[in-house]
Parts: sequence; structure tokens; C-alpha cells
Amino acid sequence: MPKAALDFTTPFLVISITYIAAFWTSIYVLQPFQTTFTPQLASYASLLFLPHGVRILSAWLLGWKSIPLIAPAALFTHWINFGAEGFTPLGIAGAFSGVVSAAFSFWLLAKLGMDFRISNGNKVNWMDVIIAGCAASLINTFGMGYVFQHNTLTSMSYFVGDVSGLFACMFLLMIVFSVARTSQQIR
Amino acid sequence: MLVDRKMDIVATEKNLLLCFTILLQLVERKSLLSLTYLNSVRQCHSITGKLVALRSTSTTSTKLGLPVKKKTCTLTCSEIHENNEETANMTSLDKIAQLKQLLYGMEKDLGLNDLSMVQKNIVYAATILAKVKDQIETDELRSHELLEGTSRSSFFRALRELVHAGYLAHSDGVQRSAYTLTSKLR
Repeated sequence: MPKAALDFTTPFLVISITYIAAFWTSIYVLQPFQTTFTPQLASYASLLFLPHGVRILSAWLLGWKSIPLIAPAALFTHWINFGAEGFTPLGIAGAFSGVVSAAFSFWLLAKLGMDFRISNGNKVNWMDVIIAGCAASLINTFGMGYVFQHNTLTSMSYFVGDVSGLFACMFLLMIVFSVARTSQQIR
Repeated sequence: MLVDRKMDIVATEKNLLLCFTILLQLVERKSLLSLTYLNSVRQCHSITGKLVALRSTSTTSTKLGLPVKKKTCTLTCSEIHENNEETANMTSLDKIAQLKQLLYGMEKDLGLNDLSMVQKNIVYAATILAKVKDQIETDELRSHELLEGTSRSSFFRALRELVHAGYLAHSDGVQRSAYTLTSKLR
């Protein structure tokens, strides 16, 4: 396989599989618990939306390149969530909204003097990524709320779900790296 | 234009490659690349195939809070450019390095990385043994059941780090190697 194709395929597969796995966990594992305790929330508004973590970390690592890499997985999960009826122009825009807002938030924050992108050799700080995740979620929540006329509760649950999902995603990864490091030390 | 470039990298052998990947991005701003690391320069050679060890010192550095042997290597400008091209092609590794650094910072800020598993087990064993007598001999510690299966090198590395971090103190004036608990553990 040519190297350029491999450079695209590897992150594409990693991101797609992680995104779909995160989506599956949020919707089919965590969502039933949420519905039990908060039935008043819309079924699609997860309070621990792990895919937001994948979106933000991909955007942080890859910048704008993350958009085409996540887009297929985002469309696939949109289809799982809403079926063929979700593929209206507005529905597709909604599916892309979260993906684009992740990369856009890093760009926007850089324009506002808070450049958290790694491409510019900035010092890595996890709080910066959380801030960018909050910004991306705000943009996404306001956009979706405006277009789809979500009520305040749904919009708030979108935001809470995105931010908690990002933190949980990073925390899980942190545990994975930590366990890997510990097992190396024991060996 | 062959100009040597310098930069200090402090890393354990295991993390050398990841640190090196990140620092190569910054190397353009420095004048000579030097590496400070724990054991040998051979791994650098195997990693990059470009590093040239110019001189070697046996000084002790405590930049990481750990006693380490120090060696210096250089990269020529052309080699750096070559390596930068390699870095550009090594995007996956670079991303993993950045992600690992991000999450390590998170772990540190959340106070979850104070001690490694081996270090924790040494502390537990030392605390148990210290109930019987103040000075704990290395052999007693090493043969404690909590440290079964721990390799000799891991044990001594963890023990050295615990002494340096101020959890254990080496007892002076005893014939055999012995340690006492410091105020941190009492």
C-alpha cells in the first residue's frame, strides 16, 4: 500500500472505530441508565457523550484534517440514531455540526489569542483541551438548538454530555496509558 | 549549512523516543542536540540511526528528580533536516507522543501518578517491616511477599527513586544496605 494511503488509512480506521465504539457505549450502555433516572430528557441527548472526546482529541491532534476523517463515522452514527429520515439537508448539517465545531473551536480560540493547537509547538496542557471542548460544545449546542428549536433542557444536556464525555474519554485514555506504563515497569 | 544544534532532553529509556519526537520539532530553534538519559546511547542509534555520540560524561543530573547518567549527542543540521522529514512522516508516532504527554499531565495534575506500582509495594512492605525494627535491610525488603515477581532492576530503580523522592532514607554507618522510613511515611 502506498505510504500516503497508509498515512490516511491508519488514523481514519483508528478514529472511526473509536468514534463508533464511543457512540455505541454512550447510546447502548449508558443511555438506558440515564433514561431510567432522567426520563424527561430527549433520548438522543446523552449526559455522557463519549464521541465528543474523540472529536476534540482528533481535532487537537489533526486540526482541520480531522473533519474528513471523522465524517464517515459521524454519518454512520447519525444513521443509527435517526435512520434514513435523518438524512435531510438539516439532518446532515446537524451530523457534521459536532465534527466541524471541534476543529473550528481550536481555530477560533487561536484567533482569540488562545492557541492550543499542537501544530504550533505549544506546550501540551489537558485543561486547554477541555476549554476547547467546552467552546466546541457551546458552538454545537447553540447551532443545533437554533436550527432544531431544542428546548433549554435538551441544549443544556447536550453541553453537559459533551463536556463530561470529553473528560471521561480523556480519563479512560489516561488510565489506559497509566496501566500500560505500570505493566512496563513491573516487567 | 552544517550547524550543530543543541537541546537538552531528559528522559528514561522507555520514553526517550517519544520525547525525542516532540523535541525534534523544537530543535530548529536550538544550536546543538544533546541527550540526557539513563543508560546507554545505543538506543538512540537504533531509534534514529542518525545520532552521533560526541562525548560522554558520568555526571549526575537531578532534573527529573532522579539521579541519571548524562551523555551528550549531536545531530548535524543536515541530519536534523533529515530527521525532521522523518518526523513529518512519523506523524502517527508524533500524535501518540503528544497524546501521551497530554494525559501524563492530566494524571499528574489529578495527583494520580505519585508512585508506581512497584514503588507503592516497596512503601507498603517497608511500612510493615518498620513495625518490627527501624532499619530495614534491602534483602528483607526485596524478599517481602508484596514484592514477589518484581525484577531486580525494577526493584532497585524504584527503591532509588523512593529515596530520592524522600519516602525512604538510606541509613549511614551500617555494614549492609539499610533504609529507614522518613517523616513522609510515619
